Amino acid sequence: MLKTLSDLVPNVFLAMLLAAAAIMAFATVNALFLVWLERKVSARMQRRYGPTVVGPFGMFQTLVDVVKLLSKQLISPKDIDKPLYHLAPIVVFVPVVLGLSLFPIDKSFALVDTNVGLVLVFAFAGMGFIAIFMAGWGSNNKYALLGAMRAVAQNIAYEIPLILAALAVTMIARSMRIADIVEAQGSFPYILVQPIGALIYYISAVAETNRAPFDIPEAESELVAGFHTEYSGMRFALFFLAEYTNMVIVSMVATSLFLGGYKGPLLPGPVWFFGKVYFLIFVMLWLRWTFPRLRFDQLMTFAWKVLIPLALANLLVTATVLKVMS
Amino acid sequence: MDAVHPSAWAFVVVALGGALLSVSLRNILHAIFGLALALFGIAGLFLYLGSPFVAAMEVLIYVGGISVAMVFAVMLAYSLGKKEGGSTRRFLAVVPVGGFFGVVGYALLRASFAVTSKTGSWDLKLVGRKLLLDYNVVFEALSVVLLLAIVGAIIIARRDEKTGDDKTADEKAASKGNDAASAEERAS
Amino acid sequence: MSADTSLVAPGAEKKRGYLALLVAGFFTLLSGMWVTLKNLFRKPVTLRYPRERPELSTAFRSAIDLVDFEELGSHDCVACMQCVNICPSFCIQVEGQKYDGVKRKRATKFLVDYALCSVCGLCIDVCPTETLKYSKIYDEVSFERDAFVFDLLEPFVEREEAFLEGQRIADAKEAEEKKKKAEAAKKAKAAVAAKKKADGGEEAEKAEKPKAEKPKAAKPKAEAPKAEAPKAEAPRADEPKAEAEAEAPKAEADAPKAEADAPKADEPKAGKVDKAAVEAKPAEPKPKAAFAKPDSDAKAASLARIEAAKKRALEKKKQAEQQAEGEGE
Repeated sequence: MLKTLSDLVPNVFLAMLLAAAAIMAFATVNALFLVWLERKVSARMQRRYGPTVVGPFGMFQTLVDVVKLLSKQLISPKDIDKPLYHLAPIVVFVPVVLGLSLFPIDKSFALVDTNVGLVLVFAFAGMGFIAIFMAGWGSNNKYALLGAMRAVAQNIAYEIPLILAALAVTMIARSMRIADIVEAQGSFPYILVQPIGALIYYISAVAETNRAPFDIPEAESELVAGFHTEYSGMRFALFFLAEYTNMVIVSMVATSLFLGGYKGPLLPGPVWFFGKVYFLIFVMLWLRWTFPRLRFDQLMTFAWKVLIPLALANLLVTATVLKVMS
Repeated sequence: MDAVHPSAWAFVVVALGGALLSVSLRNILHAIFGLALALFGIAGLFLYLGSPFVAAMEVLIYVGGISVAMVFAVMLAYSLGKKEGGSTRRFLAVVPVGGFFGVVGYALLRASFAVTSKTGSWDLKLVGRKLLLDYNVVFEALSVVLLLAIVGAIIIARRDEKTGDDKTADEKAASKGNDAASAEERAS
Repeated sequence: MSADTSLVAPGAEKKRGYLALLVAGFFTLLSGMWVTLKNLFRKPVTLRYPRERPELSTAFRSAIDLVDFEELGSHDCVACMQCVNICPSFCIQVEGQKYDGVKRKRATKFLVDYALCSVCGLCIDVCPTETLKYSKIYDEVSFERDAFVFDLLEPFVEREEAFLEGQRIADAKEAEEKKKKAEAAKKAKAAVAAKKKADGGEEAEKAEKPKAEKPKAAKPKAEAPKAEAPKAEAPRADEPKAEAEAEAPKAEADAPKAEADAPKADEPKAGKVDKAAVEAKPAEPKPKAAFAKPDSDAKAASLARIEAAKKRALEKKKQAEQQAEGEGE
């Protein structure tokens, strides 16, 4: 039987505190690890070494970077929209933290279990857009504003195929509870049933996290750093943290929906779960360091003319097959 | 009425505060963000009332979608950063707003709500059944409205292509200006 | 939307269907990912510079350095000054000294100012004992000019005493051998002369020349002083007027200078270098004087030049101004 944190810790406030601490710790350590991994993978793909000096294989390099970020002065540009500018890093981080709590990492454990878990994940992801917009608008910077507009346009476009692909899976599993979906994938993962759906989901997920080749909102060559151009020090670090945690979340969704979550032979559930998650993240890094950035019109064309029709067709076929079979 | 849990009041405060911000702030973008806050509070209230599905949908569609669409609309329609002056006749708005508020309030007070279950969570299947069986006609009508909206949007977007010219009106004007300028040059 | 927004070239779209294009595109993406995946497992090509250093090409040129000959246990600079004389940048300073019991002169000071050096390599070409080479220095950095004045003798200082001792012994031995050989040669010459008289004529002379040339050809390789014993004979034979009787004692007395010049004369390009050396002798005081001047003098000279140029410029300006004023009035 699936247990949640509130089952294990009866006191609600204590449970909330514990969950917050656990998630924050995980998000931070994960971001530290992923930044290191990203630098290492990119380096090896380009036949460089990457960080090697601090710690074994340079693993503590990001830790040192964080110390640097912490000690940096927080610079606020002139004529910013103060409330929006200061709120944005917090608003971008909160939904990300919330989203992390929804996944069953083992047959018997999830921090939070709800029957609409899947919808909640996407809802929290949606909250991120508005934070990006706040950052872009509040910074009083043309690059930030352009980056924010691109980010939001892109996210709205790619959210549709993302949700449509996930919807096909919920139709097969007949539930929106993530634990049920994982359990419904008996001996084989849904990627075998829904190969196109899985592909559409994964592509859209990469676009949702604003990562290359869909990193148009942060296109360095055109927009400096996009919506977080004007953020420095820990404010910038929060955006960074949110970006890397978002990668984990979309990978967790993909793992739960298409790869059978914690299921796998021999090894315990959490190992399988995190193994799959980090494999998907590795593929994201791999994509980033292989493909060049799309042009904005190509990006939109791809979303509206390729992904959405395909996702709709996929949904239709799935529904028909389900109806015929039942 | 049963006693309301104090945590619910937090959502009420958020919802009302956001609503207040959205009508009182001068900067129209701030107002939209205030609206998003209000919608978020309402989502919290749905959650409190035992319907996480509606709450999640509220956040997904209204906070993540509608607010952002409004921001887009504002940015495309207004020149950015320009502060709008208050209208002198805005007190006249009290009349329609007050009238609407009175009617809705009266209706709400007169209606009696059957509290089915506050504690038990809504079954998702129940929502689906209600929507697609009991309220089928309403659901279909709504989808027709949305379809019309989409078709309308496409027609507006494609208006210029009908003339066999894929330039927008602005571009046409600009090119016309250029033509005129070059003609002048030739003349001189 | 215009055709530009399409994901593929407009022509290609017509030939193949929409889905076929999508699938084909997908596989091209995979092939790209295969490339990066392969590279992920290949060895990095980065050179971690301060900890690792590149293997420099044998053609790499940098500041000159002294060759440390294994068989000598030291360098072989005889302070012949040819490098100093030929250097177009005047960046080499050499001083030498003659030690008792050692046949050849020995450098006591060898400074190279790398800041002035143009790495032309003339000194290396001209060096009679081939004790100069290019070093592999490539990352020398300093805020001071003086840091680039390299003392090439520095690594040899400790070994100098031992080297001189060894050289004394070797030279003594060599001298003895030479004496013996000279005597033998004398005898041989006498015999030849006798034969010549007997045979009468130039034939014998012709026959002798190739004989004398043979050791010459072998020599460039056996440049090291130890192998000098047979060499020493060759130059003698080469010089037209060289009569064996006159030479043997002379060569010893002349010691370093003659010795240094002689091998050179044997080398293929020797003719040119020899000339240079001969010419350099009278010219020697000149570069020496130039070098004797401390750096500050050179600086002062250049400063003076700059000062003069400034003055000239000022005068010109004044003139121009005056002219302008005149025109204005």
